[in-house]
Amino acid sequence: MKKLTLIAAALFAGYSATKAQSATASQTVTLTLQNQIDIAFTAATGTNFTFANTTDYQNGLSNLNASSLQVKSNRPWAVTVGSASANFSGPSAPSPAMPSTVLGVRLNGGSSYGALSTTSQSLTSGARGMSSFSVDYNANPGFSYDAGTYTLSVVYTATQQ
Amino acid sequence: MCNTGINKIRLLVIHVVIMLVLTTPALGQNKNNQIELTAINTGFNLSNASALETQQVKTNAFQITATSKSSNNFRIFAKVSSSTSSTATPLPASMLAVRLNSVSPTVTANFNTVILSTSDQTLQTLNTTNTPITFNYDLLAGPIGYSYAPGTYNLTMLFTMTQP
Repeated sequence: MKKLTLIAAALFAGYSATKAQSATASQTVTLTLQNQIDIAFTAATGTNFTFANTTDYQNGLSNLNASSLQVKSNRPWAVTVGSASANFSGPSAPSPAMPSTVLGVRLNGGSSYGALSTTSQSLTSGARGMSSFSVDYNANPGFSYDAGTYTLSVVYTATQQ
Repeated sequence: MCNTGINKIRLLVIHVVIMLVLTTPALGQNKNNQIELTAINTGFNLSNASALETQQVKTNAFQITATSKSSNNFRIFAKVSSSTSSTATPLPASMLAVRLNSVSPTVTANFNTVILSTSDQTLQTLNTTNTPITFNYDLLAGPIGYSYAPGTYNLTMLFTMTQP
């Protein structure tokens, strides 16, 4: 009787094998992610300073949240900041050249301003993903320069770590 | 002696018949299902910011040819059966989606985008035509974003054809 049951089960198994219920096929999709980083201004509303009186010259002026930037990176990142040139461009001689160090920058809410130069200084860093931050500027030219308009390019560099 | 042998054979036949009768409703009418997959272009190289930030589409990335010869309808399902990466974090299955681009011969089919998961998602429910039906599918990936480390990510899609 046991033998018969085993034989029957074997026949049943053979029958089942020929009656497959479904059919399958597979495919592997490959995504290759390369290193990506980007930095861009999302706002820049505080980049102008107007020195209107002696108090402004004496104390300097600050613009809080002067600019906002966004970093997009798929690796941890760091941002440095520096000036594109050693001096502001502005009125020509006999006015003395205004050095870039007249302008200071800090991460919004930071404790102190770092004077800008062509040598970049660390500003902030973060983990992979999309991150935003703002900076404060401080300009303090004193009384050493002729009246006029002075401009300086500030360069932010984001680097993957 | 001879009768005993005959009885055993009868008993064997009865066993087999009973098992087949009990089994038939579970298996359904699916004598001859066949699904064939031809991959044409299923690789993505995300090499710039735009590629990470927008959904990438490979038009006519792969082709499914389904043949069903029984007199019934059939279904095609898809899921991501595995996801691996060269980094610590594999991509979720939902990063992939498929969309029917064209079908031949012309039949009423589902052209909606189907986001994949780790469980079967229905791609098509069709009546059997007794002839092969070829589906050309677009493959959609992402947007991946910046949350995943650079590296190689492999997701295996499993297609299953069944009958009720």
